[in-house]
Amino acid sequence: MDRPRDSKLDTRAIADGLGAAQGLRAAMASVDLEKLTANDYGLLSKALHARQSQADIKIAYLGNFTLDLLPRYVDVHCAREGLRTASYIGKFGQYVQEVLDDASPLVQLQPDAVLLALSLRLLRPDLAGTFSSMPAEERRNFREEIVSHLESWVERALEKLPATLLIGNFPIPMYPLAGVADAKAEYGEAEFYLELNLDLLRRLKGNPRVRLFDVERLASRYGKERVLDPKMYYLAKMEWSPGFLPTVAGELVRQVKAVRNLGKKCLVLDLDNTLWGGVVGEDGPSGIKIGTGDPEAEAFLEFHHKLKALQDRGVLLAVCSKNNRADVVEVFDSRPEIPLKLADFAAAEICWDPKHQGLKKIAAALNIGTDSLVFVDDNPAEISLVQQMMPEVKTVLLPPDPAEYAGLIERMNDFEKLEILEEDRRKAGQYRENRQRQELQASAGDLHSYLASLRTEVEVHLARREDLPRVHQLFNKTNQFNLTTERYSLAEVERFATSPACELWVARARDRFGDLGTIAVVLLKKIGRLATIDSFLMSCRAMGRGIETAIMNHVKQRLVEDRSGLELRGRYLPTPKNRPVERFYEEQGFRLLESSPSGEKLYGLRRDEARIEPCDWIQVTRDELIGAR
Amino acid sequence: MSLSELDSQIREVMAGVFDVDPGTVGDGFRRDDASAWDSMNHLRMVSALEEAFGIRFTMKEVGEMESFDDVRTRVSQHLGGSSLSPGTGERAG
Repeated sequence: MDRPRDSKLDTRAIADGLGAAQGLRAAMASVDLEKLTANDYGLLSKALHARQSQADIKIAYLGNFTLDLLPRYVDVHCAREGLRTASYIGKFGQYVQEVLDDASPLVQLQPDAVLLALSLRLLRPDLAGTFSSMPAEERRNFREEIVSHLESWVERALEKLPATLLIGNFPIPMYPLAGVADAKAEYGEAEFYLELNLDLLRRLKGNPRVRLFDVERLASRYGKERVLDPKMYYLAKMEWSPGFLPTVAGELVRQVKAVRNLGKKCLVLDLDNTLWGGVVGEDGPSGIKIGTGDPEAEAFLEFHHKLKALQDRGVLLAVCSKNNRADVVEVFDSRPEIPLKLADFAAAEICWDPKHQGLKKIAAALNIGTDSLVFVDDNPAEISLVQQMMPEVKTVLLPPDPAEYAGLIERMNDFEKLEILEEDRRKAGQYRENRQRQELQASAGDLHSYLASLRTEVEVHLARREDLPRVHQLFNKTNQFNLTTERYSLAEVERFATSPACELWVARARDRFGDLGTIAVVLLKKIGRLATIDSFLMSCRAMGRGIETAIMNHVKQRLVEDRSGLELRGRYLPTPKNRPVERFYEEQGFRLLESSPSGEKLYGLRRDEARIEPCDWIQVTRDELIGAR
Repeated sequence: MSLSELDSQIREVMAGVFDVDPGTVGDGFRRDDASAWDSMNHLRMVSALEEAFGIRFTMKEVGEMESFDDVRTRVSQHLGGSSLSPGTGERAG
């Protein structure tokens, strides 16, 4: 049994405060999720629901065992991320019927995320009870039956629901029925479970809207001995003990953050006692600890490996340190065993200015918002200063022991993505290429000759199935060059790509320095003779070189070639971040039709008004075959 | 832990789970007094008490706790009669 828990937190005071507080995230900031008791979760979740505000995310919980206690844990974990939830708990064991019935509360709710969690022994109690005497062939059939059952459920759910589906797998029993001899059996219990889970993983991989919810891993993480509380199972068919639910909730929030593209973009690190042990100004480049042969040095080495893994999944790394730049350069030059090189950092502010100023410069250099930064430092004073000056920056104070650093990076949920795309893997390289472009720009005489020397090529085509994850990512994280900032779900993006009333265009770009990948999306919605540019957005990496004009020329070309006499409409919806494109439609020759006091503007362009704007430094290729649809 | 501390900790748990004013939870407080005392919240109470005191009830005991007095009796038994210290009490689990 665990130690008795008594949270030192005044949950009631926080819960009372939640009623009035405006900013959910700020109100929840003092809540340490690691320390909450079951009662704290209850009080906080009740207070959250009393706020009666509109939900940011609707989650449905389906399964064949009791999941009723889970939502309140998820509510609290979501609130910590600033997300308000609405929950629906499926009728006990009716996950199949509910998804088939258009009138069911589940289908009516149109949830954003659905968790399906099944207990094997409740799914087929007859077979589960006779497993030990089951011949190998029957065990294989049993496995196939379960996976097919889930697969066909997923197919139906995808048709009926716009949600991202999270499908639970099956924890491997703690003790095999055949004991240690199980490993020698023809198709033993371990083999059965491993293959069941592997099969599930592989067969759910294809559709971006379906995700494996790795209950097996979560159970191991929490401790399988405590996942099942047998009493709660016999009394109420609870497969998951209340103590396990915070772990499940934490994982659900990771998935939700990935679905909503809430990941941060850049991890900013201090140097001394953060990226290596010791202080370079005192210990010298050869005295700082990182590498092999010393326990602390090895801990920093492992920390670097974890940071490198973050970089490989598309997170930008940056340095913000109070040091002499020359000392730091010497460290990286003279210590080749340091895994991360200075060039791995997309930006580096190494000077004696206050750190909040350094962070602002880093965000500006990378062309991202300061709210996309996570700042890591070992010094509580620096952390506290940044918290005060830039509350939008997520801060992480390192624990006193470097042994804990690597694990801290593993546990972070700030960088979750649905999939690691080609653009993510290439991101660090692309920022390096961008620096080369800037150097070229500085050396070029005028803007036009610089742009021409880049030899930019843009390819525009209608979105194909394989483009959709990236399109979804761009819809959800593009802030600056985004005319309407419509955030669409994957299901909506799928619909735009296939509906005859829509045209979903994507643009890829490359130049002499490298491939920028898919950088822009244009969504046209056609009603009768009006084609409205519902969305026009472009990655900030591609800004400032006329690519938007080349893409708009393509859209105009489309208008000119159209036989049905289409007329274009363009919309601009102001946000705090999209000022750079405030006059985009004017610049592209559109006529202002209406503007509202809130700053929303509507523009028009007839066929006879469409004028191709010059941008001869960009070579545009069109996908004629598909474009002729 | 003194008797009054035990009472107040149980009161806090029960008031939180059944969504009532802690002042109303005490001697004589029964299942009928809280509309939210349904079977699911009953189990939430059990789980929260187990967590708060580091004890484990049996299934039979879970079915026998119908009032504040029942709960106090069961919790005290698990904590080892008069020595009401959570760290040293008798453990069923």
